[in-house]
Amino acid sequence: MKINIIYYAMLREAAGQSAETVETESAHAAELFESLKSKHDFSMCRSQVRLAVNDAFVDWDTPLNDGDSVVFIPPVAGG
Amino acid sequence: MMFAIRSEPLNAEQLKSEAEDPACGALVTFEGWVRNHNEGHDVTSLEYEAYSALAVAEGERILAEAKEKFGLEKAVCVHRVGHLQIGDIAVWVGVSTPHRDAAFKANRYIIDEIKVRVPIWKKEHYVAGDSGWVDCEQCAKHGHQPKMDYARQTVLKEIGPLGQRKLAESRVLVVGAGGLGCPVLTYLAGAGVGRIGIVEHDHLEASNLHRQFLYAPENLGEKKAALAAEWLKRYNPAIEIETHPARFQTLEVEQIQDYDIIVECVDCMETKLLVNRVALKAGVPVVFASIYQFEGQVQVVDSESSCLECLYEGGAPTDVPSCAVAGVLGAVPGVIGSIQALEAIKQLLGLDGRLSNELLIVNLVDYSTRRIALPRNDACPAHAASAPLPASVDVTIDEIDLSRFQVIDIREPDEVAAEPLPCEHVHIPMNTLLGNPRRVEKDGTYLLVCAAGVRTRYAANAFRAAGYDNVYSLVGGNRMLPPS
Ligand SMILES: [Zn+2]
Repeated sequence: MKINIIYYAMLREAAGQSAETVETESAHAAELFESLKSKHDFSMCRSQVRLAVNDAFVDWDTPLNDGDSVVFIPPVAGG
Repeated sequence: MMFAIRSEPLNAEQLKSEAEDPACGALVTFEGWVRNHNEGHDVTSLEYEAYSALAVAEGERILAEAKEKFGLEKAVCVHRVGHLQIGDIAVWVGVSTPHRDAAFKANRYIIDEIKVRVPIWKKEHYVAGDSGWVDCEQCAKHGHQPKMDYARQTVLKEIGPLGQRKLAESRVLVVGAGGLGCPVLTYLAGAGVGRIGIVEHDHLEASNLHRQFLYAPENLGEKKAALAAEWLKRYNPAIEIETHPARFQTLEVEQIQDYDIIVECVDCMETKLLVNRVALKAGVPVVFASIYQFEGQVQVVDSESSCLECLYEGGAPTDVPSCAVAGVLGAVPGVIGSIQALEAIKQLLGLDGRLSNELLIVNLVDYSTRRIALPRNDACPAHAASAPLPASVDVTIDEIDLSRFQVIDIREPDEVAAEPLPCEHVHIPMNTLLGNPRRVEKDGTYLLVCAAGVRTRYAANAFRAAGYDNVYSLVGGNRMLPPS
């Protein structure tokens, strides 16, 4: 299935892009994140990142469906 | 209550009948006439011009104030506009009250306030054939100080005179007067928010200036709270600015509850989490924002909604890069801070589209925005910590969050030796405690523990009778405490 991924903050920097579409068989978002973590060499681990699927925050064990938009949001604190 | 602007001549008899009230013992009327000279010039006639919509709104507001202040039954005020001749009535005020003293005072109050506050201008025509606009009374009263005119925003149907009044009555606490704080403070002051508090403990550094436009290089090393307040008072003299040149954690809950909303603009995760907790406890909503390079996040938290800790699922991260580490371009906090100011106004006025149970993410690289739904997390520790304490003296271990209480073991030393408490506590035997009630502070929350809950009920009730409503008795005694 195809998943649209949007990156923010440090993850956007690490991925070198704001968004990408990936072909994946990952059953849920946690698995997808782990594969992207090794692909892009993210220094942040899953517990530091919040996940949103189709513009709603969800848990990491949420199953994915073809065409989902997945957003990874690291905490930010600048002002 | 009636305030009106009229272009036709005023009929004093008719106005008087409108101001009369059979239930009142006093009617005081005032007539302001066009006179034939002013400041040494012979005047032949004059013109009044009003900004009608605003004048009527402000006039009605003045009558409502007078009604409340002096207990008026009826008040009528009409101001002429257009071309007036000598001897014409320019303004007429009539009030009815049960007693004469209040009637005189109320009439005086209304005419004085009308002259100062209602936007009406006067142009005099002189015998010599020339004419001139006369300084409005407002300028005279304020030492020729011009002031802000909100016409461009009151014309918006979302604001209008009522919204403007609401803003004037609003109180906003801005925490942090840096990159986000500068636009927030500026736009709130410009919008006419009546009272703005600034919490900022820092002194101005050269590296602040590129994004913090309330300051200038000549002020390096000075306190930012005072500098910001000084500029904002010049920018809008009509509003009140308060400074708290200290860290947020030094503010009392009562000081925070003095505000309708908090706008959080601090560059530090620990402070954000603290503001979240304190504001939930105080019941004051917060508009949070954070930035990272070219991105910003904005979230509104109130006692009903999801909060900052719901976002981070309790495992709130604290090693988050600040602007000093990550870098920042001034326009980015400029945009995000402007969104915060807008959101605070939306919240204050209850406007459409305001944020609720969501995170707004703004990406200024590609100019995309996203609103991500964030439901309230029932397991979030921040909400548990802000839940109201029980009202009863007796509490069971299941209904309380033990971490919110200071535990006092009031048993005798031999009982304590036999069965020591499994949690953190202090030991003060009952008679010692009751003989020395100052061991308990008014702003703490205490759980008394004995063997069965009988002595503690007696002791807690004694404290309640002495005005301490923060002392509780553990039902069932020490064995109810969970083993550590
Ligand atoms: Zn929460």
